[in-house]
Amino acid sequence: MAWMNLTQKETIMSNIVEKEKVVEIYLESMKIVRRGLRNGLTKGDITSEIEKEIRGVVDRED
Amino acid sequence: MKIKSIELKNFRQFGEQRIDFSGSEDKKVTIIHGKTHIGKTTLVKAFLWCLYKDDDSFKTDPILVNKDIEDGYVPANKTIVVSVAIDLEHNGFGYSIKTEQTFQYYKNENGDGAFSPIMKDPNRYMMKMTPDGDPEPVPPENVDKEIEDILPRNLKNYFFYDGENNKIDDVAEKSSLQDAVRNIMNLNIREELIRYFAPNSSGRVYDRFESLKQSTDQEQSDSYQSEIDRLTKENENQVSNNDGLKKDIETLRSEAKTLEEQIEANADAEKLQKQYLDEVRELDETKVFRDGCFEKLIESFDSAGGARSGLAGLFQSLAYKDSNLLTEFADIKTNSRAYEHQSEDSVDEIIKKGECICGAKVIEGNECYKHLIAAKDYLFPRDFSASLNAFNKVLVEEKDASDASASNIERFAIDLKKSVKRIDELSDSIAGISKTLQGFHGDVGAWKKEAHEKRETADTEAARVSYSESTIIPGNESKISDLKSKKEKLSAASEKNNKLDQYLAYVNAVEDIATKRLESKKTGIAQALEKQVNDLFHAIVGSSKTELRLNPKNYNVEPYQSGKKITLSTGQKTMKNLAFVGGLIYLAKNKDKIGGDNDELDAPDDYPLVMDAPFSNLSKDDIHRACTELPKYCSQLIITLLDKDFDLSIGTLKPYINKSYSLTTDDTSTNSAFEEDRL
Repeated sequence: MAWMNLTQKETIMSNIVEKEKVVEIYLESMKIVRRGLRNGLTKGDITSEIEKEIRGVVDRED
Repeated sequence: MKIKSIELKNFRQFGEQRIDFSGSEDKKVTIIHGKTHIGKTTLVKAFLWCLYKDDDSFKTDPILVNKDIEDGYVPANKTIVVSVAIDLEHNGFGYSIKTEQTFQYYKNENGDGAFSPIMKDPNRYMMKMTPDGDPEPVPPENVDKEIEDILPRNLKNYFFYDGENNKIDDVAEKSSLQDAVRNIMNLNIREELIRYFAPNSSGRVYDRFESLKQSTDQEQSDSYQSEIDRLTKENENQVSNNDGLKKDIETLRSEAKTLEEQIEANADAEKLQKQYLDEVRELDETKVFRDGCFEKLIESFDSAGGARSGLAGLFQSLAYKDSNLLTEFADIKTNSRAYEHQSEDSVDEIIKKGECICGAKVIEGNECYKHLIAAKDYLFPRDFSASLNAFNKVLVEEKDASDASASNIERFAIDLKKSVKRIDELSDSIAGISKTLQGFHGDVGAWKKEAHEKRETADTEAARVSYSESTIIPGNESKISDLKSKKEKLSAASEKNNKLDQYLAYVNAVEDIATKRLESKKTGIAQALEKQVNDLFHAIVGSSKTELRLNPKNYNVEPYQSGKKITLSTGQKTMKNLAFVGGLIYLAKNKDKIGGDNDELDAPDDYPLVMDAPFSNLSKDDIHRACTELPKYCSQLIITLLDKDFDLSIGTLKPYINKSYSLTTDDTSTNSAFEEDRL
């Protein structure tokens, strides 16, 4: 969606994402990145952890 | 972070020394004072050496071993261990960090009697105390990470402040300032987080989800569906066509069966029809043969020459008139009876003679005459029996003379007779068959042909149906199944892609949040830092005439008065630097209050401020104001001061001072020692 302008992007995102989950992913990913940087994890390791986090949160049925 | 104590062993001016630092909230200041070159700066360097193994300051004189020991008391082969140990607290954990370096002394080979050391790399050890007080050794490979968590290396120049060199923005690189702020406020982590969520960031989250997408070519999918529809229609046509053919086949076979039953029921008629046709054909052939025999017979007469030539002409004309004559002629050799025939000529002879062979008189007009005239109607015009007899006689004679033509005449005559006889037989038989078949108009042969054709057509169509049902329809069904499978795969890929798009929407949303928060933090940091630096600067300077403007990109501050950039004096620069460090400490302590929404990265940090001779260039009033303000900003303040500055500041600082140490030496040693002041 990189090609969209900000309004289009926000409109679409507001329709298909749950804000609580977005914030949850953001906060958990921050922990992952922080821990990854601290422990010298590779870019691939951090990416995999974040990917897992996103799948877990998005696919979770609350 | 709070520093609890430092313990030095054989380190430079220090033999074995330990001092404790104040950690209380209200009395947060520890003072170390002394004359010049007594070891105040060395003490601050000892912190850096212990925490970071920082030896930049010792490069010109890397032998850290205490001079007293080295100069007089090191025996040969003696090993001297230099160490600095710090106890501190951070986020509820206690830490003991100790760095030590071994120096092995050997007697110089040049015979001067002196000893020189070989130094080994320094080692650093860390023990981490749990909140329950249980010590846990930190693995050597993790010590750097732990220290980076406690006080990042690139902040050391700000929190271990070298006042004598007054370095903050004059000496240090601009990027160092930027790094310091970014590190304190975790902007680097926020930016790194955004990189993981940003589009087109190779090998990261966005890229990862994009790379998992599969082709969902709608055109291809439509093409599959179009082909499925076409094949389905074709199969429907095949089935429909087969149904039609099956009906045709049934009809054809039924008709063939009817014909076959008809044929069977008329088997005798078929024989007669066949016989009829055979005999008609034979009759035609025999007639041709007969005519051939006759022609040859006549030719034989002609070739015999003489009187026979005339006979031939006569015979020919007669033979064509009456076929019986041919029969009779054929019997010439075996039956002479026929030669006695009467004729019109013979009746005319009797009338001329006037007497019938019965003895009655023949007078023109009498009954006998009339009878004879009437008889003429039933007689041949000429009496050529005699001629025939003569011909036969010639024939016999010439045969005896081995006349080849006579032999031929005989042979042709016999064949002629046979053929004439056969013609009669065939004609009779054909007439009989015709009579028998009278009223039957069917053609069994045609029926047979028609039945065979119907059977053949039915079989051909049955083969078409069979091929359609066994090959074409199943083949199409197989293709349809294959195409459906492909289409379903595309459809599944589409669903998977939809899921990935959903993840990507979250990735975008997270990037959005992270970007907004980063920008919010940056703005908040710049505003907060500029305000705090100005507030503190104005408080220390005692005037708000000079405005310190902060560059939000590199966090450098530049002085302005009345909108014009000015140059600060050395003392003002010192106060500006103190204000800047105070601003940094404020940022660290108030992360959760700066730049909008808070998160894990906004947990406040509490850094100590260790200042080496911070007031060197300040006036009494400046020192007073600095001593009034600085304790407000930090939780722990450790200051080394020249004795003269100590005297100027003690009055102001006294309410905050918990511990104060005087650094002294005695006359017998170059060693420095801490002596706690009585406050």
